[in-house]
Amino acid sequence: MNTNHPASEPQDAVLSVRALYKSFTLHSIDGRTVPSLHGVDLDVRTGEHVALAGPSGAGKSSLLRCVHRTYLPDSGSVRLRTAAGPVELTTLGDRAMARLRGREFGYVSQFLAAPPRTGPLEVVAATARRRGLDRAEARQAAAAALHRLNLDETLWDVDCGVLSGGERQRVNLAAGTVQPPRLLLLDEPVSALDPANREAALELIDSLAGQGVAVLAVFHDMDAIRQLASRVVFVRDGRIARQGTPAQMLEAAA
Amino acid sequence: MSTTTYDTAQPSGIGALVAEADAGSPPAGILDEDAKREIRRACLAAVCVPGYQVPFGSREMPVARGWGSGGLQVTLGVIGADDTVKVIDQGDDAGVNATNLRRMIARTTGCGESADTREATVVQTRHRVPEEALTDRHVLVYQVPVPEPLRGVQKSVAECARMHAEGDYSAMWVSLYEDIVRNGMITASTGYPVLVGGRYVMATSPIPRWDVPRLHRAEQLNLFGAGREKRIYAVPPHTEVRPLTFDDVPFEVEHEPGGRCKFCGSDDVYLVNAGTEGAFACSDTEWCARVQAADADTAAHRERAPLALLPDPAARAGRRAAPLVRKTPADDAPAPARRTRTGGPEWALRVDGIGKVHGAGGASAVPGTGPEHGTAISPSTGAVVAAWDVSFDVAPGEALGLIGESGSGKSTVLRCVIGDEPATAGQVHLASVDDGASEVLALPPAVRRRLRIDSMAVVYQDPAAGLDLRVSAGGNIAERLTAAGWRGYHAIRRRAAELLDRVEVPLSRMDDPVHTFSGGMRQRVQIAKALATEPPVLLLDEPTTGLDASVAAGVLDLLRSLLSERDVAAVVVSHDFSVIEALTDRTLVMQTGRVVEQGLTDQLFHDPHHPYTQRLVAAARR
Amino acid sequence: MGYSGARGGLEAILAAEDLVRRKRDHAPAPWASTEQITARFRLAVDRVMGEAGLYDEPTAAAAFRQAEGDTLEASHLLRAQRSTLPRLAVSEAVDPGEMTVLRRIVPAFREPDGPQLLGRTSDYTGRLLERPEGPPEPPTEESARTEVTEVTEVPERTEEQRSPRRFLDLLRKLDLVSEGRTGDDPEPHDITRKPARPPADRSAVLAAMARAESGALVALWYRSVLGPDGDVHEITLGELRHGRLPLRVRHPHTGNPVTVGEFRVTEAEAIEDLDGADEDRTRFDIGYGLCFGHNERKAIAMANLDIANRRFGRSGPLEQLLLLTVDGLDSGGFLEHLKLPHYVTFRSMVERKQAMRAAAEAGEDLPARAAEPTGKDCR
Repeated sequence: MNTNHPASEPQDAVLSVRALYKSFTLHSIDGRTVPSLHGVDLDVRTGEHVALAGPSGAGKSSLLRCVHRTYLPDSGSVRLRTAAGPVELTTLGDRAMARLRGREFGYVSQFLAAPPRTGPLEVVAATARRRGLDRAEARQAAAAALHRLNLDETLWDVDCGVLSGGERQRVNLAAGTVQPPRLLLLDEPVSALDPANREAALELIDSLAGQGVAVLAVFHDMDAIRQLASRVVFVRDGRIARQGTPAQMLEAAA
Repeated sequence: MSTTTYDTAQPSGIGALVAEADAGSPPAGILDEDAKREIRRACLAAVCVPGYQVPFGSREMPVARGWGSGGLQVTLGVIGADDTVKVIDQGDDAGVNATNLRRMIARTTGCGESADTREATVVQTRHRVPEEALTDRHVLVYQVPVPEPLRGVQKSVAECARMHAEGDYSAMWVSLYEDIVRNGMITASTGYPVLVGGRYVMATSPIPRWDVPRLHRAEQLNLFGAGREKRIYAVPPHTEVRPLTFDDVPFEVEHEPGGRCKFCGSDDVYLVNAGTEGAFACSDTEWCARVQAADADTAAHRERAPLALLPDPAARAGRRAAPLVRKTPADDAPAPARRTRTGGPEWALRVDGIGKVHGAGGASAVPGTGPEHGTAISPSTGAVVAAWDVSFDVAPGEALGLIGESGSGKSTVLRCVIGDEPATAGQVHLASVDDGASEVLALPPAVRRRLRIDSMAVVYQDPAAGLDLRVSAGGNIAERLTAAGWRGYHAIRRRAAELLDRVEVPLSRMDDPVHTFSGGMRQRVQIAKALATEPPVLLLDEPTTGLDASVAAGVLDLLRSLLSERDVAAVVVSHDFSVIEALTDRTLVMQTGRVVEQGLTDQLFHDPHHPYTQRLVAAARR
Repeated sequence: MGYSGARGGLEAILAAEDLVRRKRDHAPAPWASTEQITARFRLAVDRVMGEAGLYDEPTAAAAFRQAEGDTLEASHLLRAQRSTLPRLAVSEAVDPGEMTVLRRIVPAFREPDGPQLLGRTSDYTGRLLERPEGPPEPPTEESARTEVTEVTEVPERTEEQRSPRRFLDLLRKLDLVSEGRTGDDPEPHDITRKPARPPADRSAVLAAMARAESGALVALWYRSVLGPDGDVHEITLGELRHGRLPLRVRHPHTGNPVTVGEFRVTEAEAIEDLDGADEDRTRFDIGYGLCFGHNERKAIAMANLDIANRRFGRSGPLEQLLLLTVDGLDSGGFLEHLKLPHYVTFRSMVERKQAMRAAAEAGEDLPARAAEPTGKDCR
């Protein structure tokens, strides 16, 4: 078991998180401060699939959101290697951050709301276009991704707002993984899926590593972790408690 | 003050001067020499600026205002004893009004009188241009009842003056567009508006359309006198005079198929009804008599006659002709040509330290206001500090939100940027204006108004603020397009149809007045109009507020896809987090006139820092 | 020699002129001298002078007689007469404070400085029609003396009575007047030489009102109070005066101001209760009216419209209405021109109606073509 965090960034790290702190100040309750992350250090390398595990409320989703800048970290560093070199995300300007999102890294969450009155094909193709495909290529790639996730073709032009939770989840996943960027953040990507679709989704995610995509994911079930993760990071009370291979970690848990 | 008072009451130096002046002046003059000089000056100014209405100190004449008092003053101003005057009313020398004026002019100036255009040097006319050729020896003086060509589309004289000054004639073009849409043709009859020298729109007297081509590159000097409205204007010789019409809609003159003068048999003259049996006669009685007397060059006249402009129903646009619209998705349409810049600023719009204070004090009213003081009202001056020190920039393809409760100042910022109200402080730069070098708020108002045609568009909460509800949906879009210089009727129809189709207004409603539309549909038309010229900056002020929830959702979807498919820089003002979340990437939160927090829109929603933002988010989640 | 037109029009005109002259000048009744007209139809003559913008009683009386009592026509005659004359001098600015009052009332105050002088008014006289059989008896010596009280030479009248202090001065002393004056005093706008259009100086609007047709001004005032688009309060009338003012011009040789005559004016000051959000609500504003002769309706309407114009002139149509629609010669002339022949323009209108109908009959209602030709796009 290796609990020593690397002090310097490895050469092949796509994402390097250092000393990340995050808390929330609730002004409606007399400015009470709710802590969330307590100095997280983490690297995710090219082709690596890192799974975050731990009890609910431990800070797994907060870590993803701090990387995505949906949460603004209190302090610390989040560095992303982009086509133009490493970029510090915590202090990056809002406009640059908005442009980086989607193009340089994807974020899939069951809570992401697809724009209403837009069809799945259009939603997925729009993301593919942001990642550099032209219109025709984007539609092709989108169609492939939706096929792969078994989304019925008759639903491709249907308003996302009327889709079931599982269908919507697959649209999100397709959008996140189409023409995959170098880093993917997945927040419980298969939680709402029935067993058959869940399998297809896991296969899709598993295939990403082969394409050199770095994945940082939160899963609530151990089967998925066992199936996908190359490394498991156990989070507790806003800190990384321990990390290792799935086998090591599951052993420790057992 | 009457001078006779001086004579009788105070025999002084003034009285002597009066007596002297009385003795020296011609016995029966109806206009004093100083006034004539003034009129000649006005005529010269009018000649220098063709089509421009020159104000002059119109005097009361012995004829009522409306009876040719303006024409009479011009004639008296330019005529001399060596001249020969001809006066016609409806083309007739013998009409009572023509006779009366001619006798008055001849009697008071000592000039000659003639009914023969070839002998006359000054022709004063009401409603006609003589059929005889006019030459550089002729001055044609028109009596004008209403000199303002824009009156039909704009009742405010101050606004008409502004429109002329800025060459802003889109309202005129819209009225022509609407005429064709409603009637299948332009139904304007006499006094047809013309563009003079490519600059001023001018009212033609009113002469019939038949005579309008006679003004174009004419040999004669044309002077127009409007006594009641105190305006003189001119069309000098060899000046371009074009009737206002679309490039692909022909201008038509009056025509009666098979009509001929019952006296002289002419069919290439302006004919008027004669008798109740359906017969016609020349309105120009001189020409008619001379044709009968074989004292007229009828071949040359036929050359002059506007026979090429006779109505041709086949060439008309056709009422409600269906515009051709591609039914493929609009985002497959070729992207409109854009000015592409290299090396310009990253942003399309930059706003620095905008502030607006209503009331006394200006910047000095600011201390003591703002969120930390809990008030926008200045404790020192009582002025309302509606907004202060608001800065942001927006890049092409980006949407920025301004959120806050009503009264937080967000709409004020927008109104200052677009120019609906003057800012107290701050600067605005547009990348499309001098590559962002010019400060927009410092530009003259006329230039700022021009910016609204193709540099910056706004969609207001109330569609009535951005649309003319009496005008059709297509006409509202035509207003923006004609302002930007579009002159092809079919091109305008096609573009309007494309836009309306894109915003999902049924094309069957394209020609209906917007006041017959529902609120949501009106808002869609307003959006289409704002996008008509593909402005690089789009400002949206509470675009869905006031609509039913389901209708608002539809408009919101439309806006989102419009923004995503265009490279426009958008600023969205709303009190509603769901609107801001749906449309924008970045957001500024405003409270009592100040920006209290800014960031990525999803970050503000999920991780708000400022107490006020937290309150807004909590309320939105309820 | 070329074509010479028919003379039928001229004969008709001459006949019409002759008929008017004969019926008017040779009516079977005694001739009315201008003295008779000024004395017996004082208010009509005053109205003509006011609407013409030209003060001369005998000339106005002659115009009134020639116009057969049509006051608008009479002011037209006066103005056209003036057009024939050169402008020889411009008077010195008149100070209304110098007015010798013939009548003065202060409705807003019980005991103002100076007298409440009713003067020559029938305000309080029952409107009962009198039909005397013949001319009234000549006045007795006693009644003649009473009548003379409006004349200034009466020895008992003090300076204070002749030129009482203004009520406005008292309001100023009480600091109840919002001073709209900016301090600069530009040359007044001469609307007879420089046509005034919105936006215009206050002096231009005042001049337009002073020359306005009285009925038009009163109607506009009433409309502004009662009409659907009206936003005018009825004011409190501060002071109303009728009196004489001296007219001075600079002597052409000495350059000194010389009094060359006197003229009568009616003057009104209107007190407006300010209530706008951005107005000084602790004070009043004052509107001003002044016109030639004795015409109280006009002066009061003018004072009320003056203050309304300051407050609402630009935010609504009022300024344009005042500058461009109240002149009697303008509106009357334009209306009467409808009597002129219009058959050329009417023929053009008929032609369009027939063209529209022909197009409809030819079935152009339907889409003319499946596909339209490409229009020129000259962006």
